[in-house]
Amino acid sequence: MAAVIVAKSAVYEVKPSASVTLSITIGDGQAGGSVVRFKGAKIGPGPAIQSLRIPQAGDADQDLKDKTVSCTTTVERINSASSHSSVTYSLRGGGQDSDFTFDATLPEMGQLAEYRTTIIFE
Amino acid sequence: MTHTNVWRLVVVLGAAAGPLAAQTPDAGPAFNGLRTPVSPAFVLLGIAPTVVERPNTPADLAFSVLNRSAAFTSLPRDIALELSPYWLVKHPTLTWTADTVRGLSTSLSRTMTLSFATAELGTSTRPVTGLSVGFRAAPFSGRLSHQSITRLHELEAQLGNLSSLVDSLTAVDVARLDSILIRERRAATSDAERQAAQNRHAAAVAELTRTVTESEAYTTAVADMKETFKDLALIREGFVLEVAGGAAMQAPGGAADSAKLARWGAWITAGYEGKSLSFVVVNRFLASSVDSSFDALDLGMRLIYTTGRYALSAEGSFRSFTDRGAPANEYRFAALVDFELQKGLWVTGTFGRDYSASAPGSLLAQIGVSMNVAGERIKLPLH
Repeated sequence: MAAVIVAKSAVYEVKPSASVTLSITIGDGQAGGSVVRFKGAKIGPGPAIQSLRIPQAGDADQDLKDKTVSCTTTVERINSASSHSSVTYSLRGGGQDSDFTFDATLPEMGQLAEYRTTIIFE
Repeated sequence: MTHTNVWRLVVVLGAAAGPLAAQTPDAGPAFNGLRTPVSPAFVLLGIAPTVVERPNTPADLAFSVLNRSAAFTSLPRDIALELSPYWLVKHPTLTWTADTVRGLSTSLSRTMTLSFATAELGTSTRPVTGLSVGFRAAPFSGRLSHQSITRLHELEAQLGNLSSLVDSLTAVDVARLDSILIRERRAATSDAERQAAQNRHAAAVAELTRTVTESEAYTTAVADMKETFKDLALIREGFVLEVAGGAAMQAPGGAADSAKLARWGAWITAGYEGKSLSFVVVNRFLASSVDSSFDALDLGMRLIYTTGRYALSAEGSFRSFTDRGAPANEYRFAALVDFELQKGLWVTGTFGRDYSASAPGSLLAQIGVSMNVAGERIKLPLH
């Protein structure tokens, strides 16, 4: 039972020298955990990432333009009623609020999906 | 299974990786036969299909229907279909934590299933196609137990660790790919070129991730996690009410306009699971327009009281045949005792009477021993 791999990227328009927040929602009643990497460092490991500030408050460089943030989310199918799985990356604080949703089908209970998402700030 | 004054020794070895419900004591088949069936259409048609189609998307459903009905030119043959309208579509904002407690409407929508079946019931010289439809729903489906919630949070922490492992093993290469992506997007002169750069980046990250998921570090971490959560069972507790109904028709020659109602039925199962006291009440009505002598209303109730080392339960069933001149009313009752001699080793006793009290073997008197190698033994199986 191989893991399903979903690799995507999305572009998010930011304001000059302004931070944004990232929230990750694992939908369709499935379970999952995520880790977020920005400028080479993990900044948000944990099952529930809500309103994670990017860059972090102590970061001297607050300009996000032309930078990326990498999100890795592992989802396991625990919902016997649905084979759908989805992860929504919600970004706030930029030009406009945006939700990027990616999905995959997990035919078997207990099957894993690895979501690799790159957010490009411009 | 009823033997007068016969002592039986039954050793049941529960598979450690099996579902929890399979390792718990259950009511007898006489009582369970009254419970709300998962697929009423199959019960009313009297079939036990080995393959049940369960479409997960509207497209899958459309394909199944079109494929089996020859584009609606004939009745579909030998089909067993079950679907949940709510779960046919995606719900990206529905987290499992939001599904721990359900209101009336959410419970109805999330538990409703529709079943549809056809089967050949006649002979080669006189073909008769049986067709049935059924539904099942739970207006009340309890709440996810605290133990299940705790286990799911622990599972999510482990899944986060797995994400961290994938991230760490690919961090250097992904950083390099990100740099290339930014550079290519800057150099691009059109949206198409920018999109092409993103597609190349995604393909490269997918390939990197695929390599990692085939690595020993990843497969070992997954195996460890699976071992830790092999007994994960999402148990809903509290008040549960399930209703179901359905009808079966017979169509001589498989002609749709010749179909006539042959049998119908309705079920209600209500139950409550508390810390030490649980109960379940079942109600079933079956009727036939072909042979009404066996139209029957069944009522049953089961009570379970559990403590750490023993469990007492009692079940009673009452059956009333509704047709004039039908057999007299029947009833059945049984008391069950479970006592844990030592961890995992249970003595079970059943005493009572079956429906036909005058028939040989209707006195229930059984004692057995059962071993349970994993999981809790005493749990009311409401689902």
